[in-house]
Amino acid sequence: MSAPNKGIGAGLFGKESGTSYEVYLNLTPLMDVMSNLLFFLLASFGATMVAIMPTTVPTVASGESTPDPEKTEDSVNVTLRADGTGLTLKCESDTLAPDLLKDLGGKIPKKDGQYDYKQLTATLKSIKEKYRASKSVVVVPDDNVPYEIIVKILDAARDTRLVDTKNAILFPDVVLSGIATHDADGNLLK
Amino acid sequence: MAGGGGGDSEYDVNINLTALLDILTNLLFFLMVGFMSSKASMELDGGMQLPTSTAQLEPKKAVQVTVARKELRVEKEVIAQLRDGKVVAAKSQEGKIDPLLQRLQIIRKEKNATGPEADILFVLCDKDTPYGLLRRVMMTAAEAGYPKFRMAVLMQ
Repeated sequence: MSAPNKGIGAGLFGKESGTSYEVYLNLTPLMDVMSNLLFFLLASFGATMVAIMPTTVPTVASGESTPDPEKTEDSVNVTLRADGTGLTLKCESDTLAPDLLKDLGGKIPKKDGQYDYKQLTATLKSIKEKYRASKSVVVVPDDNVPYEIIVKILDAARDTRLVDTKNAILFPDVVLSGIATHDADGNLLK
Repeated sequence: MAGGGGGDSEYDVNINLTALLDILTNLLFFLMVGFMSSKASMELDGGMQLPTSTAQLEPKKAVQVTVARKELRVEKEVIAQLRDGKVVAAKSQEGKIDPLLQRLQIIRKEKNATGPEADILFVLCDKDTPYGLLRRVMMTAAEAGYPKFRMAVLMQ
């Protein structure tokens, strides 16, 4: 009579005698750890839905500006002032006469103590439709205006719902006003 | 285990958790990879809140300036204390914030970066920060050689 076929390590303590072993691995602590990790990762994923809004401060060119030869369409630069009474829009252009621009923009008073963002978007849209090459808006808020309100103004200025252009941003170049310290090449102004 | 059921109150039931563990491991793996690949990492204070916006652009890595409720930080280093929207006990000239200017100039010198991304600052700013303070921060950053900003906002 031959001895039973023991596996490697079998019979070390003299009790195992079969050829196969059924091992029950306790996975519950590992499950606990993983569930916790999963929970924290999912929670932090929801909290980091952060986007960015590109802005600049004004810079002053050190030399004389040369007109862009590819620029054939007329464009306007919009200055948007936000103060305690409301929003004031003013348009300027290098190529257009001031008389043509004086009717654009104007004052948008506050509505129920809040800035009228819908009216702002509508006004900017009418400017953009008239001068389609216009890209930049300079926002000049009062010092006591909270950052949250400035973001709402920038959102209204960057609205993407143009009449006949899908996904185009109304005024993509947003400049927050400040005192220029560098020229367009990044050199410190003295 | 009491075989065949009956009057015993104790049951030893072995649930096979291996399949569930597989799913969890896969989920964990994908979440961790997604977490690692996020292009910019940011740390918000307990009390700090970003404004919400319709902006959709993804954040990219850049030198980070945080204007929190009580302190001003560059990367993770506290540069100045803030109180009521003003910088506390920081010497300033012509509206600039000197400690911030010095720190940013050092960083710019250390990084010595060139290219279109070199002069961009990533700004985390609390939603209640008055524009006066933010303007001073931006003006100081522009003086230090960072005239372009990526303002962090929460997606709507």
